[in-house]
Amino acid sequence: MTETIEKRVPVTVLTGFLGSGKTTLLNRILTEQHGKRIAVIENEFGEIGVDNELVINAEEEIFEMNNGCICCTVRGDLIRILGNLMKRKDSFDYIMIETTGLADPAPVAQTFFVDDEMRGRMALDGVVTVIDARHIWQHIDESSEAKEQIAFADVILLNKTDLVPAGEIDRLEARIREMNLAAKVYRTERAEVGMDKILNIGGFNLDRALEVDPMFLEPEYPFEWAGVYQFEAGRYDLVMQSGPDPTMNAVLMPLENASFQSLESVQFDAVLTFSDKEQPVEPGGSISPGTILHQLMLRDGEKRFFIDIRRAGAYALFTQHHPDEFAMAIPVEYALQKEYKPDHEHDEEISSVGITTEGDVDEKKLNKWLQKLLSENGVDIFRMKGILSIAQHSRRFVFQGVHMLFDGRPDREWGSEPRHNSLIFIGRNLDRAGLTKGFEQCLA
Amino acid sequence: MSGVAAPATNAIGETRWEANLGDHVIRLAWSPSGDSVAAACVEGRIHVLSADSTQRTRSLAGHEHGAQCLSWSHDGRFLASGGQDGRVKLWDAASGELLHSMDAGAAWVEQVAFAPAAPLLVSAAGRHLKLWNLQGDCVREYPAHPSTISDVQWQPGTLFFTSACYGQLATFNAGSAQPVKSFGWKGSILAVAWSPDANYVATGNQDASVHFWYRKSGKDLEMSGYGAKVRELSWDAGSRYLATGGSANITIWDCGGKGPAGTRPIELRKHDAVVSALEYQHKGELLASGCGEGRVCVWRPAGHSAKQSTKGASPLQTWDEGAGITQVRWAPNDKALAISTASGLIRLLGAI
Repeated sequence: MTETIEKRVPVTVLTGFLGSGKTTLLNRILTEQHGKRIAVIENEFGEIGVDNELVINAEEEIFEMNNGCICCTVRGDLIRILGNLMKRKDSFDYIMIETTGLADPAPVAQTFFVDDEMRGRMALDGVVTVIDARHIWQHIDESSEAKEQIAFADVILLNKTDLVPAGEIDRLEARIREMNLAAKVYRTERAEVGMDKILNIGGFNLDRALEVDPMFLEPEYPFEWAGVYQFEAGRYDLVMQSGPDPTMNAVLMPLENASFQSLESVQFDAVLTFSDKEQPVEPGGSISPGTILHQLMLRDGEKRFFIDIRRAGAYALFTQHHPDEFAMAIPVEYALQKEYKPDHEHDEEISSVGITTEGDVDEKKLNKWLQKLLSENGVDIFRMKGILSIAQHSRRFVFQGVHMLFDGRPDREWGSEPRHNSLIFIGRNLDRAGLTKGFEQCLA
Repeated sequence: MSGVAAPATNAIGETRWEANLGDHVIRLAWSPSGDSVAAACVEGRIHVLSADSTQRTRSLAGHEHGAQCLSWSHDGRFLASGGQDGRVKLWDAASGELLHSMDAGAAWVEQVAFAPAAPLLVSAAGRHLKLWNLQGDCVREYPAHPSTISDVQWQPGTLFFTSACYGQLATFNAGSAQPVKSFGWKGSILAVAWSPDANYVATGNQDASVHFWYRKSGKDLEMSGYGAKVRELSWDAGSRYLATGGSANITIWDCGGKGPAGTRPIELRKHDAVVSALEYQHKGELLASGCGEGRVCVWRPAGHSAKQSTKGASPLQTWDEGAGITQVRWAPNDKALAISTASGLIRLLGAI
């Protein structure tokens, strides 16, 4: 890992299907009063209504090298055009690349790692993917382009949210998060988003993601389902049939109100509570709100429990298994529900693996491990980013990678911040246990 | 440009003059007589400077959005240029008058090249290749190439020219729209260099390799292991040595005897950054080189065997220009050297 001083021109890659709102976003960026000189390279004809910026139309040219290894595939059009742009006196503060809806983001990103000229002068700042919340369901399962655009993204705009019911957007966001935990997801109408959310984000800035969502690197939930209920004070029946397991753990948490935001705000506490010791509840027993892990005993046939509510309000019931497996019945309909799919069900899908540990890593061991990992699994690892605490270095080391390529540099001093390592892999068929174990063996 | 130490003299002599054009010089070309040097600048202007000490300069309007390439006609009467306005322009070299402006077929004209001994001009823009006469008429338009054409070079002493793009190297003439010969190769070719005897054609490639083809047999060889993409290629006058960039070291392949396969190349080490300009003399044995950090070197490499490559092979003359070297060009009589930089300096050294 070599030290580089960041004086390279930042590049943002804008991906998304035709009609997702990419051009709207681009126009927004160009008309915003940011005082920056932006050069735009367009591969798709869009109506850019700005004259004072440099807009270059280019035909996408994919250059395969080394017998077509996908990790060495780059974009010839970008090398040619950007190479020329960098010679101009009036240099640019920022470069935006708008890809076609069906473009594979990997060669675009790899261009900034593979080509020596590009690598020295420009740095990939981020991949921004715009998603049409209305139409993405038609593509998300079938289209590898759609999946890759989501998996490669640092920022995802769920656009046109005004045209879709809120519940569906929640479902979409949950689905996207399963694939790419590292991306920041913003819900937008007409691609309205703050420029600071998409420009100069520094592709490997994990900090903000960590600040906002403590669950960021811990995607496996110990529960499969949560239902939000509006309860009055009093006693409710909870009836369950026998199911695949003889017991089921459940936690009931009070909420501020019956909303997804409110549900999300207690998720983390629910996770912690699920790691507590179970309190067995025999049939006829009662479930009460708070950080108590109830273990409902469900052997043989229908069982009846009670939910005891002292104060009227919204409550979230988190259950270890999906309640349908036990035909759970409560006399009140839930106001909203959320499914938490355990990660192991998606082995064949694109997913993220996050690793967070304390301690310092041994630079040599890490290099060796990464080299082996990427040479064997680089094709399936789309993105990789992280902050590392390297033994004997006072500064944080930040890095990001695309397939087999990576780029890293020392960042700010650790100072009083506790030294730790946070890294995330996004890709296909990732081996969570293997990655975690491999990384832990690199600790000094 | 001031503040640059005058080069130490020995191999080629002292600075005759220097000029500051104030803009990155992307291409430099000597007129066939050696009387003038033409320079194309990234922002679009084209300048013709007289090589004698009067240093008279004529500036041509050039190209909107940027100039890319230049070529002199074999008799020195015409100058052709191409740029980011999608035009090929034909200029009267003596008066600077624009004679013709032609549509090259795409937004960026990457290459224009006059035939070595005929009034024909070839242009490459995007995937389009066109052949022109001196009246600005398109003599022939060739079928669109599979990808953007990166380079076009005339085969020495012939009316054939060779184009390169991702995936192929193809040789054409005026007589037919179809290539008379083509070599397929799955990779991105950046630069083409015919050996002066036209026995080999070499390419420098994006994947950090150099490829050779034997013209007659079509046999090919690939030399890989460069540190970076290879764009700088130059054959020596005897068609034996090919000097290549692609690294801070200059790598020279000896094509004499059984050819370069399996041999260890000569390496010249003095530059600290990737070599950005390279040219052998037309008849002599000196090699000039420049790098991205501004160092210029003049070498006499033929005397060095591969065994001596790591030590003893020092340049005859070297100095630092303080800005990336973009071109090094020997005068037709080999007695003068013109160099240009990314900051717009042109320096002319030696006798004329």
